[in-house]
Order: sequence, then C-alpha cells, then structure tokens
Amino acid sequence: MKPNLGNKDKQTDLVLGKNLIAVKSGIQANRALTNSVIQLAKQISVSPDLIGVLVLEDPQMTTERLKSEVEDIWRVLKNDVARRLRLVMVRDKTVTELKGKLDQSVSNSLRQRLSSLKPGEKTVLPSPDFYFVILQILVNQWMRKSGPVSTKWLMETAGCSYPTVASALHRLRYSLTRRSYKRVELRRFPEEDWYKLAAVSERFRSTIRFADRSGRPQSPDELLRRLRKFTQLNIAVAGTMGAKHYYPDLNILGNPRLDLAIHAPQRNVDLSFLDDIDPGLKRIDDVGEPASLVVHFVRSAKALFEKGGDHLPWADPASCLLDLNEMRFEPQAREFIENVSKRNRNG
Amino acid sequence: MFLSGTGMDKVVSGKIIEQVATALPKECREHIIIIGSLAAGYQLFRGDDNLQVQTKDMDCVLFPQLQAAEYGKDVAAKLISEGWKQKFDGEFNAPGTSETPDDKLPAVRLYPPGETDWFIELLTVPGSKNDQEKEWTRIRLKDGDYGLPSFRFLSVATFKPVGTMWGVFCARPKMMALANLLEHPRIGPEMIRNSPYKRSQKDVGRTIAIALLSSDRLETWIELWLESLQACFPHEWKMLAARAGSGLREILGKDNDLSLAHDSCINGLLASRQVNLEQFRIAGERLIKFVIEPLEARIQKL
Repeated sequence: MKPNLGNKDKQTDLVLGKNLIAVKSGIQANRALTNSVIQLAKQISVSPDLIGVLVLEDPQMTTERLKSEVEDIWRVLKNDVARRLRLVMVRDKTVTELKGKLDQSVSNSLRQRLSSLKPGEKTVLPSPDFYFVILQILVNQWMRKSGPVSTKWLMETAGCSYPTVASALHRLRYSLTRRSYKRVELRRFPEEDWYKLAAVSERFRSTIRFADRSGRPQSPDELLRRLRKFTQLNIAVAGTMGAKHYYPDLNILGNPRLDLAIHAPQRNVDLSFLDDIDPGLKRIDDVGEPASLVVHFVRSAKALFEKGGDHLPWADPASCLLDLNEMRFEPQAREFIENVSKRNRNG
Repeated sequence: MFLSGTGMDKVVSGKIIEQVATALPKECREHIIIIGSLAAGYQLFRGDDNLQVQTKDMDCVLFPQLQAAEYGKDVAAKLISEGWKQKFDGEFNAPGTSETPDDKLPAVRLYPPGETDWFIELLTVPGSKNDQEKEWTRIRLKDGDYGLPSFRFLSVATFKPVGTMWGVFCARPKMMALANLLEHPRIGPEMIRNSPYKRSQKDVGRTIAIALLSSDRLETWIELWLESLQACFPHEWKMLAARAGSGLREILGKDNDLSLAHDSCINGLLASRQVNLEQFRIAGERLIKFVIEPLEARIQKL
C-alpha cells in the first residue's frame, strides 16, 4: 500500500524505498517535537512495512533535553509504531541517531545532503514570535511618530493572521490608543513589555555573533566599508551606527562593533557574504566574548528600514534600540528613545 | 645589532641596511635596491627597533642591467678592500675563469668584517627581454670571474622602490609579494638547500607574512601590481595577473604546506610577532579576498 502523501497530509520531505523521511529545522519546543513524531507515526501506521525517519536539523534545544523529551514520547507510542520510527539529530553537520538505526541508503542520502550544503545555507531560523514582532513594529511607529496603523497594515507588515494581531494588541491594550477604522497606536513607550522583549531579544532575533580571529581586527567602519560592495537590499546598518544616524548626539564614543539587521521573513538565510567582508570573522557562541560583528534577523514580512542614499539602508529605530539594550548601553538607550521620538514629534 | 637566537639571528633591518649602505661606494648607492626580508622589515617595522627579522642574507640588486657589471665590480672591490670576505660554498668553492660557463659562475657573496652570521649577495635586474627564468651577468673581479644572477620577476619586485636616508633603495613589500606569487604559480617541490622548506613554501609564506604585517589597506595593492605588470610584461601582463593567486590558493588548501610556510616565516619576517597558524591562514585568505579576487575581476572586465 502506498503511503498517503497527498497535499493535505504531506509531512514527509523524501521517500526512499519504504522510508518516509521528514526534516524539521530549528525545532525549539516540545510541542513541535511531539507533533512531528505523531504526524509521522500516523503516516507509517497505514502500512506495517513503512519506516518513518524524523530528521531534526539544528534543533534549538539541548541534546539532553531533546533526549529526555524523546524518551517521554516513546513511552506512550504503540510498540509496533515505535519500532518503525527512527529519530535523527543533525547538529554542525554531525548525524546522531537518537532512536532506531537508519538503513544504509537513508544514512548515505542524509550525509550526501549535508556535504552538499554551503555554510550559509545551514543557518535556519526558528519561527518568529509574532507578539514581539508586532510590539517592535508599534514601538517603531511610536518613535517615528508615524500615527495610527490599521490592523490590516499590521497583519501585512508583520506577516501574520488577524487572530495573531488581535491577540498581540490585547496583550498591549494598556499601552494602546484605539482610533477609528480599527487603527491603533501606542500612547506611550511600553516600558514593561519592551524590557521583556529586550530580555529575550537575542533569541527573538536569532542573533549571531562573529569575532575576529586574525589578531589584526578590522574596525567596524572598515567592515562597513567592505559591506557596501554587497548591495543586498535586505541588509541594514543597526547598532550604535544606526542609532547615531537617528540621533547624532548619542553619548557613545566610537562604535564598539558593527551590528547588522538582516530582513529574513523566510527561515533559511545565507550568510556566506560575511566571508567576503572579512575571512577573519568567525562565529562565536560565548556571549561574554567581545564581538566584531553581530547579525540580527528581522522576521516581519516587511522590513521598516530607512533608505541610506548611496549607503546601505539603516535599520529601523526600534532595532537600533534593541541593540543598545543588548550592549547594556541603558542610559544611552533612554536618551535615544526620548530624543528620537521628540525629534519626530517636533519635526 | 644582533640578538642571540637559535640558528640565524634576529636583526633590526634599518641598522643592517645602514651598515651595508655606508660601506658601499657613494656613487653606487643610488644603483642598488635591497630586496628580501630586510627590505620588507625596514618598511613594515619602520621606527620600531623591537621588531626584528631573522635572516642570513641581504640581497642587493644592481640596476640598470647594462651597467650592473660595472657597479658590481666597484661594490665588490670597495667592500673587499674594507675587510669583507668572499663566501664560497658547495660546488661554487672558487672564483670562475673566462672559460667557466655563465651559469656555473659563483655569485658575489660577502661576509661583513669579522662576521659569518650573514652576508650580502649581489644580483641584477633582468635584461630587456625579461623572458628567462634565470640569467647571469658576468663580472670580472681581481681573483676571477663571478656572476650576477637575475630572476625573471626581479623587475616586478624592484618596481618603483622607495628611497632610504642612506642613498640605497628598498623594494616595496607589496611588490616583493607579487614577485613571489608570480614565481610560484604552483607549490613546487624544489627544496632550499640545508633547510626543511620548499622554496615555494618559503616565498609564498613570505607573501602572506607581508600581507599580515602591512598597515595599508590590502585593496590598495592592486593598482601598483597592475602598473608593474603592464610595464614589465607588456605582452603577458594579463596572463600573469590572472594566475597570480594560483600558488597562494594551492598553499591555503594544503595544511602541511601552509604549516611549513608558517614555520619559515616564524623564523624570518615574523620572528618578532606571535602569529599562530590560524592567524597566518586568515592573512592569506584576506589576500585572496581583498587583492587576488578583485584583481581577477578587473582582468576579466578588460
């Protein structure tokens, strides 16, 4: 019997003989893991010959937590189905079999796929948190004094459905002013909500840090000069440089690093251009280590970047503000909020 | 002037250049271009005596080629009269005669008075045809015949040299870097005598070291590289420019060769720097990204 791979129930990415292979990238919650296993279990349950292979690519969970969750799920699965399920984790191009043993053909195919991946293609972003996306959009509008926006505009700009927008607006109701024609705007800076966002901003923006390994680091200005050659419209200058664009009197001497905002409504991003900017930049995981270049992803459907003339675009003020928060420039962040919004109010 | 070390000694480039230049006949100084580690160190470490290079020879290129024999004769005579001693070794253990073929003549190599740690060697720029890998210009000294060697890409290495306060010139590091790359389109097997290194490892490695130490933006090298290639090789410059990065790319792809190149530089131009292999590799990769690739792109557009 052929497996049901019709559009409606299609969960698998590849069929190899009797193996139905599903690939899940950047999975970060137990619920998503459970759903993926159940969907695959449902598919192989239609025929006793079928084997289900779930490949977890770069899961956003620790291996220990993943293993513990997997044990919990396996405990409730029917023996017959559990016996025919395989669970594989792929992290840093290393394949780890968490449950069951892969057929040689599946194993070869997986390794072939991994070796053909370019470094840039490996960056897979998790699904965006639309509450924070909408909060950032509204703060941005507030700082720019752009006036009220409609729910429809929010849906299109954030890239989410009406219920998601409605739910976010409900959470923000105490900071909002509702206008006619279902338009809303922030009546004040939503301090409490913003600091909740700032606290998780690295995860929210899938921040990636790069440090110099050459021993002769390029200055942030030099990195930016090289970046200008890459006229990709989806990259904008953020961080202290971006903040100074909106408020030149910001009390920060020089620029400690180059922050970039990359518009990435999709989940796969290619960062290979960074190697062309400077081969001395290497990705680091230690947040305590000083970074030369930091990349943040803007996950809304539309980016609110500002055109930069012959320069790269400037990231939106709210992105720059998050960067200041992240760099612990708290007094400067407050100064930035006050002055940018005042300037726009007056101007 | 010297610091004790293992094998060769570390030297302050400027002091050695001064010692040699002031010993040379005044009228010859403006016809001499110093090349190699000392010339590179003199410019890359200028003003900082804490930064030294480790070397055993100082190559002095006489120019123009037509008068090189005459200047070479004057230089050797003056230095020998001041106590410099001939250095003979291997199969070249005596001066040649008028019967000795040009390519069998010993080079003029002289130890300074009372020292055997380092020596100077006289060379000359290639003739106008500029198409021989190596050629010799015969020079007759009191004790016999010698040869001034010339290598094909010395004309590039000595292109637009910089002057020094002692009258002699120094080759520009970026031009020596290009000459080394042109000399080694492949990481060839030829070993340096009495050394664990291949000639190609040492020369391409030195190019990486120059890139690493250079304070100017690497992209600025491209204009002078193109100018020199067009001037020195008017018929072949495009082909030479297009292949300039091949040896560098090869060494960056071969861990063992790169490691030996790094070793040779740690015992040379990088003697005063703590540069690890990863930093050395990045310097090579930057050279590819910032100079070689834009150079190749320029050639393609022409």
